[in-house]
Amino acid sequence: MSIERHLNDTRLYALLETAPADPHLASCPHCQARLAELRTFTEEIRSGADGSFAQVFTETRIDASKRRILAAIEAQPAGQLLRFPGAGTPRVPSLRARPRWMVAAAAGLIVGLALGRWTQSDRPVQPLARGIPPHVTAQPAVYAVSVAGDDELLTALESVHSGPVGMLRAIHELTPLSEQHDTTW
Amino acid sequence: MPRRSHAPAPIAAPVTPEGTPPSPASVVASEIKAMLASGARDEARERFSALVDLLHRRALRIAYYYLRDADDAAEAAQDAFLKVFLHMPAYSETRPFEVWFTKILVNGCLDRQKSRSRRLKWTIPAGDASPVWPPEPASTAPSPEARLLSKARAGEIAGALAELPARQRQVFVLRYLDGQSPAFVGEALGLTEATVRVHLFRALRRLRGLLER
Ligand SMILES: [Zn+2]
Repeated sequence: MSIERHLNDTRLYALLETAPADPHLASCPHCQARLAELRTFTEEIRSGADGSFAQVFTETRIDASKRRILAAIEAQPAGQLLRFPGAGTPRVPSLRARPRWMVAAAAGLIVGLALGRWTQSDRPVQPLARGIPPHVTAQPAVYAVSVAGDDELLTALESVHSGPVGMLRAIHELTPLSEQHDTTW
Repeated sequence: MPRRSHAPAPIAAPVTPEGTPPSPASVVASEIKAMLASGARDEARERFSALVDLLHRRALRIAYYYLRDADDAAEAAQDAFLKVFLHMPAYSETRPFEVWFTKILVNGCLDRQKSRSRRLKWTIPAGDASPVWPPEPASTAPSPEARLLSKARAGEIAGALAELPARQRQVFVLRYLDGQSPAFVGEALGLTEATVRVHLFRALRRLRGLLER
């Protein structure tokens, strides 16, 4: 990247998260100042939030809250320990909800194909399943591409979520949800 | 970045690779689990206070940043502790206890957000059902001017945080206000690290838009 072309915001935010070893950053006082400003901003948010917490939760209140928790624990009947459904089953950290979308998208395509052939057999060929924007099929890439790409793809994904995909949603709702409020591993 | 320079030190350990020592809370949780398994319920209850000591303040902070209401936050923290106590047999010692606890806490906050009017699910002992907060000693209060000034900015910041979409707020609170690693945040919220980062960037961008003049 040349010195003339400054870092975009996405890159700048990425540098906030990682060690700043960016060649452009190393030689550009302007972007160094932008990064410093971003850091100051996050610090301000944190101290503002800390301040708002401290105003409400004084030491007296924190102690009172703690005593209440301990009293509640004390009041629990012994031997009434519960297990979460699926306890002991290692939790797969990948996004199981996403494949449901892919399944729904595939199902939507199949339904769309079937309906399209049935209702439009004598008309010129239309794009299949017009309600499904093309980014649906790009979803898996969200987890494989760089941070900058993620941002754009997430935007696209969100527009899909808020868009007219009633059929997909309906199929999605019918798909069993295996880890809603998952409290297992 | 000195993220927690003037805040309480983070108790939670990052998601530890195999071979690194477990966090203090994980050690205590494992002890409690073993006590319960051997039928030593009273001992387990007593030991649980150590876990509350380690995580209580942090739980209150997270819950407060999510819920912006002291009573709701205190109840959410209490819910989370009771849940982990009752479900301790489900705790897997191969993972940091803090991640499991955070996940339960955050889910509880989400539920609470969805139905603010819901009453405390777990009963408070009758003897402790008195006024929610004890009276404050007058000496601990900041001066009216200082309170007004910081309150105004803190209010703006809290208002901006409240405007974030739920997922962005969850990620932002855990990463920047609670000081956890992206790996920890991802595991607690069931997201990949890349997705955590995307939510962080979006949250930051939005907060800047809302707060910068
Ligand atoms: Zn530059």
